[in-house]
Amino acid sequence: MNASSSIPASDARVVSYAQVLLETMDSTMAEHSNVFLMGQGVDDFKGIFGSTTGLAAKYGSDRVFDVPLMEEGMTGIALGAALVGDYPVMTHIRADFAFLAMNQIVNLASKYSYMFGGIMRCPMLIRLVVGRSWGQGAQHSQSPQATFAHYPGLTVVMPSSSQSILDMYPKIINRCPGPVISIEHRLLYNLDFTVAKQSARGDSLTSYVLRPGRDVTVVATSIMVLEAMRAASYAAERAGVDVEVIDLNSISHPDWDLVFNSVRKTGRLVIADTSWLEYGVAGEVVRQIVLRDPSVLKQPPSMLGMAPAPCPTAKSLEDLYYPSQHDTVNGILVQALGPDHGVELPSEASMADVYKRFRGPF
Amino acid sequence: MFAELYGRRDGVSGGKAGSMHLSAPDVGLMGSSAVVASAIPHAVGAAMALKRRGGGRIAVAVYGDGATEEGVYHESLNFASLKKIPVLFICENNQLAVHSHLAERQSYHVVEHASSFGVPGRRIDQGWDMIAVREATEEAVAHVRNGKPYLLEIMTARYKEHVGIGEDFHFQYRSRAEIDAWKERDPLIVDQALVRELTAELVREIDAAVAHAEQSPSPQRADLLTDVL
Repeated sequence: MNASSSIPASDARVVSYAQVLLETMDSTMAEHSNVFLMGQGVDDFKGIFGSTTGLAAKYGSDRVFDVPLMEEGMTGIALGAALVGDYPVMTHIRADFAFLAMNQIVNLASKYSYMFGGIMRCPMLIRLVVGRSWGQGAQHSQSPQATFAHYPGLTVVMPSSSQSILDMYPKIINRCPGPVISIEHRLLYNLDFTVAKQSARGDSLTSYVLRPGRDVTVVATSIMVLEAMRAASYAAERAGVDVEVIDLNSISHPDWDLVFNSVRKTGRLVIADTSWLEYGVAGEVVRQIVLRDPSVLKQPPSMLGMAPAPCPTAKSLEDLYYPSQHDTVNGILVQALGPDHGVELPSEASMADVYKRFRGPF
Repeated sequence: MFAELYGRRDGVSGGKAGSMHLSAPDVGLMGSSAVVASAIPHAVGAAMALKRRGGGRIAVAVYGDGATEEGVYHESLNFASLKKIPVLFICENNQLAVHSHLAERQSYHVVEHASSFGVPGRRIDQGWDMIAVREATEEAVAHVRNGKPYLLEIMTARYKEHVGIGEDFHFQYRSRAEIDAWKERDPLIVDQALVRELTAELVREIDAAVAHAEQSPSPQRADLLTDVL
């Protein structure tokens, strides 16, 4: 169920998402002396879930440092440093806290290039971690990709694997001209992935086909890409349905032609996102297809996302709140075979439990 | 600058900034924001980057008294003091935020408040006195160059309405007498000999800038979507 089958064994290795984040932070800091890293806890013993551990000792407290609880001020400080040529990497251990920095991100950073006619640039990378698993609740679980992608001037990506980190971050850090927001899913951190030393993808900052197929297109983001891959295997084994999985990867700048051409081929679409469906990624995918040619859709698409409520803390409710593997497989089979498909569905109730038990390699 | 105010292509930002987002990076003016206080942390961040690079350069944040009420100002003072960042905070206090008086907005005094963060500073009551302001600023800059933040509060007055060239005393939210007291000490009003000496050259410079602005083309459709990213 992974994209690594095409990687020659000699050129592949297995590495966790967190470890690849750490390696990428390390290598970009070594390569670019203007890169610095700040955020609550970046220099502590937990090191943003292992993604910054040891870097303060290696690069010094001038380049890797903790900050007071000041999300807006910290983002403004990053912007000011960027204006004079530094490259800030900022972390938020929960994406929800980025809302405290909305003024700097939306009113300032996203607009500095345009508002000053191209003479001001504030390139920076803001890493947001989406919380998941029971107890996270309403303020530690939000996945704000649609919020940020709404604003021109921001680049928003959601790396779904170690390979995506390796492919994207070195091309973003100190290279993208403006602010980039990367939304990293907490469940991915401890998972192992098989990665290639050299990526096969051309433009790694946009969407790509992870699994080619003929019958149904699944457009997925972040952890839902893994869910889509598992569901695709299940649908193939149990019902002979051939699923194409597209990792949207970039939320602000997806490859819409790639998505459209896939749907034109399959005529059937499932969208699996990590956030709410309302005014979100799912709606945008459909908008892009409809603008090109609505007749490519043979039937209304299926959509998977969080239930339209704040996230509950009780495990029993949380399992209902997020789409389960049962829901993802059902979405695919409804598209391929209709609502009365009659295929037995997986009984798995909790997606989070699966990734805590089985950590790959994917 | 006038071309920018006119919304023309030859403006410093090609007509996309207007009066609210003037900048001049060649002389170190790294932008201005219409969201009050939001550029204060930029000076702190720039100064932090300059400090790490060495070379003794500093950054200056200039803002009004209303900005000191925003949370990000307090965050900026704390961080600048904590990390010993060479930044000069300059608060121009005209005691008005749009139409709201200082007494209705602030439970603190600006210099005293900054000192609670360990940021020393002083207040200059005679904001009309250019020499006094210059001397105080030189002292402040010397302090900042020693590697610590400093704050100057410069008292001033707003002669005209908020945004615009008219007067607004007839709305009776403030008194003409207060402003007249400032005008009586304003060297650009009192010292007419100095004004006469400076006027001719300044008018020439402004006229040339306005003429240039008026001849500059307006930005077109091809400019609408440039520099978004």
